[in-house]
Amino acid sequence: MDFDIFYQGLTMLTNPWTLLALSIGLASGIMIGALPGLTATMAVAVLAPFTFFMPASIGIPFLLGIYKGAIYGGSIPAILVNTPGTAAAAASAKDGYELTKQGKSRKALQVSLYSSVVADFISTLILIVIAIPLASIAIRFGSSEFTLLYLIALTMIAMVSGESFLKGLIAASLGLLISSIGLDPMSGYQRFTFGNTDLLAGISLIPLLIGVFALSEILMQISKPEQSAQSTIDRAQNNEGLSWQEFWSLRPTILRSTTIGCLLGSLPGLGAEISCWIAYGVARAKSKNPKQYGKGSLEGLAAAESGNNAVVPAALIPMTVFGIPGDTVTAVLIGALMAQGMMPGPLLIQQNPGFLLGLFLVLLLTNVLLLLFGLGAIRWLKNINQIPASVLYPCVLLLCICGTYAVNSSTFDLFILVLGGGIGYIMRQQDYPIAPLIIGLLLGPGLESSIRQSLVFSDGSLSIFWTRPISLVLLIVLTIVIAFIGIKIFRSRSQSDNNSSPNLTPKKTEDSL
Amino acid sequence: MNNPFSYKAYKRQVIGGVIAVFVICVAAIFLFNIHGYNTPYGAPWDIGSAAFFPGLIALLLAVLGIFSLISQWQKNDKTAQAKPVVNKSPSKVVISYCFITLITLALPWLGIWLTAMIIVPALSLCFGERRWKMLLLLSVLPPFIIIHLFEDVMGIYFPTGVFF
Repeated sequence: MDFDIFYQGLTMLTNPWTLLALSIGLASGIMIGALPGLTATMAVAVLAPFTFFMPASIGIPFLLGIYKGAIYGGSIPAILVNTPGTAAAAASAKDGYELTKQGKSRKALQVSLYSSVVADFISTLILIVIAIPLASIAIRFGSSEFTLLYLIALTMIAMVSGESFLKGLIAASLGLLISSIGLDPMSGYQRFTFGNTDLLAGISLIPLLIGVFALSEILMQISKPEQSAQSTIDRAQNNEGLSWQEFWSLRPTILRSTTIGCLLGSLPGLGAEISCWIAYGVARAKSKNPKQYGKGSLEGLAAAESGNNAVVPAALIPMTVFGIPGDTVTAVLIGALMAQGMMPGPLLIQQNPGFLLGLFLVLLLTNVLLLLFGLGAIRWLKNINQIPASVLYPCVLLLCICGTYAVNSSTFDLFILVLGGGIGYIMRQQDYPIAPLIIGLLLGPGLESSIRQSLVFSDGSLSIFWTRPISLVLLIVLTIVIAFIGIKIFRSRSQSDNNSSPNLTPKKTEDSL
Repeated sequence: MNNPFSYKAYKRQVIGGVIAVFVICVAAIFLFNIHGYNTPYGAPWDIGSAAFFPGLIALLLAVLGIFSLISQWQKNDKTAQAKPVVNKSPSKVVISYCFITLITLALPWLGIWLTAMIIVPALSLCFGERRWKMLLLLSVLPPFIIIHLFEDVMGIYFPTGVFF
């Protein structure tokens, strides 16, 4: 490795401002994640505008800290009060809350923290080992390969992020169509602007993200009946800690679940909220005591926690290598990187290797900080659930308005915010997945450029998509994905004939996107 | 329509149908614009034109919208009944949304302070807060902290409005 690159990365890691931003991000992430209803995506979207006024070496670690912290923080209320802070922590509530009821909440919180840190650390190492070699392959990708890659990503995201594949496709198409507003990426021609200069650069991504994720969540919370927060904290106070022998016996479960989390996280669209359930299911199937699952099993809790935390670094693989978001949070991260003038993908690795190495080192350091912050959080964060919604959500709304205005100092962005909030609310109410809309919006310009470039190169012939070896492989993968969807639809139809609901995906919690 | 479940299922089906029609309308607007008088963005089937990609996607969206509309009417009542009804008070949401929209879009005229001091306690009211002392505190403290964070720490200034 070039010494300059290593030095640049090390400089980023040792910069006290980077460390401060990372620590603040991690602490805020844990607190936000611990608040039921506030998701990791919402946290990153609302706080992303703060990073536009910081250098990328400080702003991006801040957002990564929030992301990691929120995914871990979600497990705290799941274990203590049976209310998952985020969708990714839903599986942790199953055994975690049972352990709390048995007076073992400290042990449960320790299992959750240690499993999360170990899984995150292994997954980060895999990211570091895989990203650079994969990027050297990605550099060889031409427009036809990127077209197929974008299509695979969009199809998979539409397939897994909601109950209905049709709704996922509609959301993705809507995102692609919205992305075509503004200047044509190839000819610079104005499209669908209707003379409005605010639309020349297209629909602003960050205001739309804040609207769709945060404002719609506030509206969802308003529509819910008032909930009385039943506290089980008293029961959580007496208890024994986790012994080394107990933790050591969880080793195979953590490693297995980390592998599952890494695999699922590296595929676009499969986020932590699915990974935790799959890891939990596999751990149960492999366990010597499957009957203990759901009744306070340390193995079950470790599987769920390592399954969801391993996704975080793995989701950065498609983002850094191909510029394709692995999940909704990485979609927001791509927006933040673009606002910093960086284009995620092979070019990021080629043009900013020092920054990327620094980011990887920061990710490793985050695990140490997560361990320290997590130990602190176990002690006092259980009280955070007592903040009433009537105080929390108005403050979040004000942050949304200020954050949106801060992006371009534009009133038009505020219009995008409220429009996005309305669209997001209707989509959630009608079970339309939001992730395909956002990812369609992000991938739209890239997909349009690559399709048109491919067809121009081949004089309009579609053969370009199967005459090159890499594109042929990708075409086969796309065909397999579509065939898989076809089989799923066929099976769900025959199931619905037998009086069951036609779901394509495992049942998800209410705030899953 | 004899029991509340079938009514809810019917209502859900109608809303689903309305959304499908809305999707078709959005696609139609884009298609109309692309294929409109003098084809403003170039020939839609020309690979090099600015109309090619949005034309393709709008066509796909229209087809998907039609499929969605058909599937809404083919749905049997049992499937719709199985869905939990999450929304308990849609009117509260509509009123809150209209209020948020109005106040947010009036920010350049009201100014950030007035906007913040109205919107925070108003939303708190929507969440069931009725203690006037708490509402008073909310109208002052969060705006003070958040606006100072943006203006003094980050140097981002908001409109002061026509009243100040």
